[in-house]
Amino acid sequence: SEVGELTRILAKAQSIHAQFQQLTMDASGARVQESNGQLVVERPDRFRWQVAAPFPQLVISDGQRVSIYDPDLEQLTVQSLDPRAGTTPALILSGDRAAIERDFEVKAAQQQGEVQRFSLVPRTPDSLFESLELEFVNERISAMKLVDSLGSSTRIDFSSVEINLPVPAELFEMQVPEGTDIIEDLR
Amino acid sequence: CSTLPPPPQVVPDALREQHWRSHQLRMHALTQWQLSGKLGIRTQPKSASVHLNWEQHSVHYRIRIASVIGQTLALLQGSPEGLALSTADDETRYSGSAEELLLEELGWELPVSNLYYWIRGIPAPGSSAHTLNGQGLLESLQQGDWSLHFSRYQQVGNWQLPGRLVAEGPAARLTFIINDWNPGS
Repeated sequence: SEVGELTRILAKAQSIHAQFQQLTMDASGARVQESNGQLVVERPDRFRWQVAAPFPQLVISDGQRVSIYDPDLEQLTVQSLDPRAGTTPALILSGDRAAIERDFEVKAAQQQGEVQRFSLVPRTPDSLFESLELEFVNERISAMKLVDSLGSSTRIDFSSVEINLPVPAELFEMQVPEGTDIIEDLR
Repeated sequence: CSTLPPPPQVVPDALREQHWRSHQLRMHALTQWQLSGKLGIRTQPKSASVHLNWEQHSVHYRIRIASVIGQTLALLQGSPEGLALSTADDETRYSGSAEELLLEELGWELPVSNLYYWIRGIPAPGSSAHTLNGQGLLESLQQGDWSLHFSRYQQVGNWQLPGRLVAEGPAARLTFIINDWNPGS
């Protein structure tokens, strides 16, 4: 099945290290948001999304909670791991088949040489995005595209993708400077 | 040594108020812009850090509020006739007050009508108290029940625009960082 093929590819990577380049365009095609940085994902539900520019920011999921640190804002927000929040795309890369099958309808687009694309449509209507597309080259993640319900589309390109490198646990522990405003937002 | 940007020229005390008055007049003439930045909202119980795009064409504006990686959370479109707020769950609501709509839909207060002025580094209409920095630009402002601090001014064309604005309100603290200012475009 298509979800089986997707999770088979995702399951090949116990961990993923990659650089990312994010570009969002609104319905009129104007470039409205860009960022770049590094991503580390470790199955089943840990990830580190480090934005380098334009605003440094660090998002870490340790499997239970998601911590978002904004140095500009001197603010650390700690939330429970809510699948509906914007963190879902990173979680998908960790490839938990049950969660993907529960939350998304998976369709495989035609394969072009070594490029494979899967489109995921959320089963719950009020999700933060209408569709999500994953692109793999030689069975390694190369891009992710999200279309949200208000007409913007975001493309995240991954480069220098390395899979199954050792992942030090500290990567998923958040340290913040003294005096950071810590906000617990655990529903 | 590395070439540092020229130190902002300090305006002598006496001239500061005068420079401030002419700066305000110029800023009132700026009614078209596109800006993008980050907004940190610190309230009880919800707090958030979102990306913001703001397009202003005299009395019409469009504010896009998005998550860090680009998913649009809300689109606010304002004109003299009124306001429409569309949110991710496809609902569009109309109202007279942006503040009310945002509070109901997103759970936090964004003083949009005042921000129209504050974002340009000038007081909104009505009484206010202020202090100026060395360049004769707004440094702190007390207005209504908000107290604000302006910093990181940037020169864009012949406009001097704030890059960081912290607004402390009765129930919220907003930190607004603007990284991409396009006045008059």
